[in-house]
Amino acid sequence: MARFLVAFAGVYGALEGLYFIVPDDFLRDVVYHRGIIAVGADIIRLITPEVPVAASSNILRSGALGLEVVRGCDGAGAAFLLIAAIASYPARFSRKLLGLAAAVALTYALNEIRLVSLFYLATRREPWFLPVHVYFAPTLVIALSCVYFAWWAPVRRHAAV
Amino acid sequence: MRPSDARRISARILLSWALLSAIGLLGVRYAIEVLIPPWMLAAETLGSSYIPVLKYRREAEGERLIMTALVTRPIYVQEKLALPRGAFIDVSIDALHILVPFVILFTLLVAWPVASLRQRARLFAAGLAAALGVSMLTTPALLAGRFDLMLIEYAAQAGMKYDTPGVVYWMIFCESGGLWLLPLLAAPLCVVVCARWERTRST
Repeated sequence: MARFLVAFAGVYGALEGLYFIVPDDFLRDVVYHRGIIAVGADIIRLITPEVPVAASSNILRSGALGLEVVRGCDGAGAAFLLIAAIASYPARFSRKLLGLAAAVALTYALNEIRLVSLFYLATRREPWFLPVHVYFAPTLVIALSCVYFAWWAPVRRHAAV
Repeated sequence: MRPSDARRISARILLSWALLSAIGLLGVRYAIEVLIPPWMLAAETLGSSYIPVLKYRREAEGERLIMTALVTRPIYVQEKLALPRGAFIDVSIDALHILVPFVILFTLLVAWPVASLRQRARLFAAGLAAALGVSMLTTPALLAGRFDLMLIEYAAQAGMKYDTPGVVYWMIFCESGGLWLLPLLAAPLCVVVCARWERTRST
């Protein structure tokens, strides 16, 4: 357990360190715009075609509303935690690779769901926006990440050493 | 992990998350008022130029933890006076946001499989100590970091540079995932400590 925890914290720290090397402009104009905001806008148009929504750089705009994605709100933290946990847990290499790919896909999907939900809360249930943004959504994302890890983690007797 | 175990643990995680989140939403004021004295102690160690006073306040934008900093020494940004002695500066954070590590920590402790209620009780006792430790590492730093961030922004507006103190980096770490990492590390540590304590008692 102690070895796992040290490796977990170490891998997470390394990923966070690398994350802060990525230039702000690249994150804002490429990753957030194309990878998160534009996709979020498409999902909203699909669900509610009558709602005007636009993807502008790292901001999701609708009328006077602007939802901005910045470092820390992009799902990277949850993805790093899952990657660190899977990389540090004893398992076969192939299982780890599959686990990592699914973890990245899961955290990306959760973050898009979070973004779209926050958009609807901001436009339709404004009083709930802040509690969901700062409290319910982050804790739920971590709880769901833990659920995923519980399903992925192999039985220790089968684990590769 | 066997599918039956994973199912049981998943159900426990989701149920405990729902329950603890609801408890946090309803009891945020009481939790914060209980924790203000230890946070004040920790906050006092983070700033040498001001005396922090913490209080809970319900505002239009939601419930907040406010730090009023009484500036005891003039704070300069390069040669220019940024804050005079005797000034009161308020910085704040969302009250519910502070509870994020508590919800994560206790969600894991509730979901962790144990053999008896006594073990669960011990785990919760260790969890309370861990929660206090994690919150003392995070909440005062989030407030002190915002205070220093204000000085950095003031300096930037005036075209000057204010050396970023370490507490700002720690605040950024906390906000970019540290608030999740610390309880995720603390929960298994509570399990290890309880297991060791039990072994010591049985020998």
